[in-house]
Amino acid sequence: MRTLPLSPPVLGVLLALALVASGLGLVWSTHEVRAGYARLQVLELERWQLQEEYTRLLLELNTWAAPHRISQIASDKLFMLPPALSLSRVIEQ
Amino acid sequence: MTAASPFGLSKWRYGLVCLLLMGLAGLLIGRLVMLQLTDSGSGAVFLREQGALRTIRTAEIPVYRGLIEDRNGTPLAVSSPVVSLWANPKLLKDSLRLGELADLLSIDPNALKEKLAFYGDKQFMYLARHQTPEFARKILQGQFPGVKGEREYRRYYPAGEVTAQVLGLTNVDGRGIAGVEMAFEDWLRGVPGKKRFIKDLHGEMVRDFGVIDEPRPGKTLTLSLDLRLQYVQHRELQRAMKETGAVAGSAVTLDAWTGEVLAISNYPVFNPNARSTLDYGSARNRAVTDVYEPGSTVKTLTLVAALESGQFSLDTLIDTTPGRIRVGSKVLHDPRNYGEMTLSRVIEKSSQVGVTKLAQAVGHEAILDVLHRFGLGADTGTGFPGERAGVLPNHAHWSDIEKVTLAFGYGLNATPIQLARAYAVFANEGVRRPLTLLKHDYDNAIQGDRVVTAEIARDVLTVLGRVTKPGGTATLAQVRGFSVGGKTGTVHKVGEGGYLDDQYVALFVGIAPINEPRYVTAILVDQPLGDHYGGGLAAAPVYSRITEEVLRIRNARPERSDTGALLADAGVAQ
Repeated sequence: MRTLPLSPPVLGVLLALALVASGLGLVWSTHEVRAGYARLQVLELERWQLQEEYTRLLLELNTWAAPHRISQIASDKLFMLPPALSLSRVIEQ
Repeated sequence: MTAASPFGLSKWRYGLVCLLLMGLAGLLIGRLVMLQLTDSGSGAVFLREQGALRTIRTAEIPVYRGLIEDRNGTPLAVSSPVVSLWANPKLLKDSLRLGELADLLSIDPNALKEKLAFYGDKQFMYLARHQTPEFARKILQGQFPGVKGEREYRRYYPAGEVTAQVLGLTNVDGRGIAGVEMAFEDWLRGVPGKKRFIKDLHGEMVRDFGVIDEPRPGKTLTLSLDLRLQYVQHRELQRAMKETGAVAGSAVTLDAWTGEVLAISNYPVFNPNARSTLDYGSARNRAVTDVYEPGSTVKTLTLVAALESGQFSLDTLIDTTPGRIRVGSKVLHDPRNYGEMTLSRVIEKSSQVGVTKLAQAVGHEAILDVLHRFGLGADTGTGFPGERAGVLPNHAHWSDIEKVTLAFGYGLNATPIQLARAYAVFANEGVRRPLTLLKHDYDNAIQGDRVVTAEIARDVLTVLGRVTKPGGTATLAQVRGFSVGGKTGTVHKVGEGGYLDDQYVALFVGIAPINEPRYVTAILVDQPLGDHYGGGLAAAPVYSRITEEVLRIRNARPERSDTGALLADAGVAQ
C-alpha cells in the first residue's frame, strides 16, 4: 500500500486552509463582479448622458448653421452678395 | 410493574412513539429528496422556475434610430434621448404630494387625480412622454411614490419644414410612418437589446445577469439630397407662392447623370418638430404623390415622336395658317396666326395648331409609345411611399380629338418628378435612368436604358435651348452666365363641370446648362392668381432663381463668350 506523502493530520490542515482560501476567493470575486457591474452601470449612464449631450449639440450646431440663418446674416448684417459673373474667373483643374 | 422505563411507560409504547416520529421525519426527508434531487412532480425544476418568475425580469435596452444625413453629411433627422415619465397608479393614487407633482408637470391636479382613478387597478400609466432629460431628472429627484422614468428616443429634424415632406415622420414609438422614414424603416430602425436581472420587492434591479441580446442601433442613411439646394428650393417656392397667390406648388431637381434626386420641396409646408399642429394635407410630398395633367411640357415628347417618324427634321416647315384648326367638333387656337414655321419654332412657340398637325401626321400610337418609353405611367424607382405612377390613356376607341390632345398633354397625368425624369433622358443622351433618393457615386450610378437615339436627344436639347431665348415662351427661365433649356406648360384645372376657365396649373421643366446638360428641374405652381398664370410667367422665373443656385452650388462651369470673357450679367434679359 502506498503511503501518503504527508501524515493525515497535516493533510487535513492543508485541505482546510485551501477550503478557506477558496472561500475567500469566492468572496473576493463576487465583490469584484459587483464592483465591476457598478462601474458598468456608471459608464452606461455616462454614455447615455454623453449621447444626450452629443445630439443636443448636433441640433444646436445645425440650428446655428441653418442655411436661412447664414443667408440672412450674410445679406442683412454683412451686406454680402453673390459675386457678379464678370468678376468670376474659372480655374481649370 | 415491569422493568422500569425512564418515564414509567411501557417499552412498546415508547418504541411506537419513536417509530412514528422517525417515520414522520423519514417522510419529510423523502419529500425533500423528491423535490430537490429526483425532481419528480412539482420538483426542483418547477420550484426554480417559479422563483425565477417572481424575481427575474428581462428589460429592453432602447436603441437609437439611424441618423438621416444629406449628401454632404449634414444631419437631417436625429434621434435624441428623452425620458418618458410613468407612474404605478396603485402606489401613486393615495399620495399626499399629488398637488406638488401636478404642479411640476404643469397639469391640472384634478385631471391627474381623475386619470389615476381611471387607471386605479393598473400598474402602469404614462404621466408625460418624451420629456427632456433635464426636466425628467427634476421630477424623478422629487421621489414621488411609484413615479419612474423610461428612456426613449425622439426624432428631431434640424432643417424643420425645409425637408419635412421628403423625410416624412415617425410615430411616437419611433417607427417611420411617412416619407423616407417609412421607405427605409428596416435600415434606420435598430434592434433593441435585452438584458436580464433580478428584481427586489419594489421592482428595483438587485443583480444583473448581463445582456442576452446586444442592442443593434439603426444605421446612418445618406440621402442624395443637398440641404443647401433644398433650402434654395424651399425659399424660392415660398416666394413664388406668395407672389402668385397659388394654393400649392412643387419643385424637383435631379442630377440626370446619376438619377439622384438633389432636392425636392413642396408648398404648403409643415413643421415636423411640432407634431400637435400637423395637418396631413401639408405633409404630402406632392412632387411625388400628386398627379397633374402635364400640358405643353409633353409637346417635347411629341417632338421626339415626330423626329423618330422620319417625316420631320427640325427645319421641316409646317403651315399653321390661319392660327386655328378644327378637330372633330372642337376648334383649337394659337394666340395669333404664326403662319408657316419650322418644326423647331412650333415647339418654341408651343403652337397648338402646329402640334395638332404633328400629331395627325405621326399618329397617337407613336406618341403614346414615346410617353411610355420616357417613363410616364410608371413609377420612377425612388420607392417613396405613396408614389403615384400617373395614368396614360388606354381607350378602346380613340376619338379624333383624343388622338390630338394626347400630343399636348391633356387626357393623361403625371407627377412633377416623372416629368423631371422624362426630361433627364435628354440630358443623358437618350438614356433613361431610375431615380434614387440615396447618394450614388457617378461611377456606380444605376444603369439606365436607352430609350431614344443620342442624335434625337441632342436635337431636342437644341429646341429646348431656344425656348428660353428671345422669341421663345420662357425667356424668364434664363440664368445669368449659363444657357438653359426647357419647356413651359399651362394647364386648365379640372373642376366638377370639366376644365375650369379661370384656374390653371403652371409648369416648367428645364435642363441646365444646355451645353453640358446635367441638372433637371421641374416646377409646378398650382392655381396662380391674376394675369401671371402661365408656365412662362408663374413657373419659369422660379426655375431661373433655383437653377442659378443649383449651378453655383454644384460648381458648374459658366459659359464663355467668343472673346474668352465670361458671359457677363448683361447678356440676359431680366
